[in-house]
Amino acid sequence: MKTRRVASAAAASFMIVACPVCNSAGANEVVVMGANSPVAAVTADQLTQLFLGRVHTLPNGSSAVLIDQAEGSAIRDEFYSKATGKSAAQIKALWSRLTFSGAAQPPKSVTSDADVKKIVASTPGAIGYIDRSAVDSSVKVVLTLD
Amino acid sequence: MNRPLFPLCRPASSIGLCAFAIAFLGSGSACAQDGPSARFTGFGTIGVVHSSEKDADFTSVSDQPNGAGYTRSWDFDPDTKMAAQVDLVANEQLSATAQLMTRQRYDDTYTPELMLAFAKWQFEPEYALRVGRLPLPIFLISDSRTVGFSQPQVRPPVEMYGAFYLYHYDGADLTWTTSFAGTAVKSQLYIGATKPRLPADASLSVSPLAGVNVTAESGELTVRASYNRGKGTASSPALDAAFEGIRNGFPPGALYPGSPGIPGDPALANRYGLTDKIVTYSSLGLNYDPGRWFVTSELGAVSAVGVSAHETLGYVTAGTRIGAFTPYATVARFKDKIAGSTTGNLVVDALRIGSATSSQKTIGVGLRWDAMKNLDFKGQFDHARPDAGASGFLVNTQENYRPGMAYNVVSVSSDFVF
Repeated sequence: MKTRRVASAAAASFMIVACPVCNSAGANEVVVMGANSPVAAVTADQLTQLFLGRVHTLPNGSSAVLIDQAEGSAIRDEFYSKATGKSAAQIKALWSRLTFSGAAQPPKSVTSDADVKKIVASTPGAIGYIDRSAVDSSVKVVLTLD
Repeated sequence: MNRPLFPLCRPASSIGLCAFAIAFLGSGSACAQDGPSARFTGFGTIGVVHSSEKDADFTSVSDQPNGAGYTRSWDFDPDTKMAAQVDLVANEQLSATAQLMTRQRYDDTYTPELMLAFAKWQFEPEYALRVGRLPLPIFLISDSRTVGFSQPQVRPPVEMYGAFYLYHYDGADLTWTTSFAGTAVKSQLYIGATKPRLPADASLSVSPLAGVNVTAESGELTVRASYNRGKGTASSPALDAAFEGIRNGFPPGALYPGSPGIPGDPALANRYGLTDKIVTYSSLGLNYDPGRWFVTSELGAVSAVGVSAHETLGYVTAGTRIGAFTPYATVARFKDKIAGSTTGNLVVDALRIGSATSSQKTIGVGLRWDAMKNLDFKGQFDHARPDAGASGFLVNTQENYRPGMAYNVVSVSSDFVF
């Protein structure tokens, strides 16, 4: 059991680290919230609107706290490509517009699946994305991207 | 000195009659985070511009006192700017933002100006109240017009944005951000006042100024509509002297050798004087961006009903994305007109005619290259043609300048964010 967990953690970190050089094909991101979150699921449309800074509330009406992965990471670029159809450059331009017009703050960004899990598990309304293989009992999958 | 006194009009004579402008926008809300935090960020543009018209200056915004063409063959002033911003987030509900920018100002210095300074209270998840110095939200991108990195073009088209030197207002806004059937809708109400300074000791005051602005975004489509209304007063030594004369009369020979005497007419001075005149601004903006290509278009209408001055303006920019390169093309049009018959008063009629000389169209092509994740390079070529008798968006027109002549503008710039 323990070895399997270690193996899956190793696999997860391998994917994150190695994917920038392996064309990142086949990565499988899931959108997660804390295991105790009252939100059961979000739709692809709702996810797009949240991560493009267009709406700030979750389907249950409470405030959303967006959690990003590191700029330039494969999982982040792939997430935005799937969730919004936009490239990293377009997302950067978008958040420049929102930030410097005083309209919104960009999502908080962290550097690993583990950090995403830690934050979404402890912050009400926090929503982030991790590799499917990193899912554990601290988080709840609210949408699978493929 | 060909200097617009109001964003609405661009006088051709040394004295300008005009109308004003107003504003408006949409702001969103900050995302909440754990505990207090501070973020320091910034952005800027370094750009150089060349204009083929040697007897007048091209500027990006008409509050700039000089530019490319007559004053300098290649000029950094029109587009170069740098800004620093701090965002303080106290908790999920309270935050504050301040932004300081340096760019060529009305007085030809780069003295930093406070562009934003507001506190924000997100009192409900969907509702936010902001108080302080806020970005004017009249147009689709007017609240982010200075952020070159967020735009495909070197600068927002001058036909739409050049006459609008209203960047911010002091006041408050209320925003409601919600979702209807998959469409995100942001509605904003604002009220405040703005008092921009202009070259040659001119100034404008729009107070009060209020508006409503609705932005709907669904998938690849963004639509924004706004309506704004304000009470504007314009002043400059020349303008004030002209209306003082209209009010009290001109003795024979006062205007030019042998000119007839003109009796004082306080009613006419009040009617056409630029004091406390209502101005309305309506605009519609649209952006369709499925990814590989995009099209952005804006249409606007400005009216200073009291002085019968009207402007219509608009542009379309379309581009395609090929890897890190974004070639684009823009067509833009600005048309101003003075309605109503002549008044019979020589000075009033001259002022009115002289205030509507900016009509112009521009066709431009350009290329944006996203060289690094926070740095781009752009090149743009514009062919501008003022209408017959008009000087378009040129300032500092010299004696040899001939209205209605087409001119070309070459721009190279780099935008960055940090």
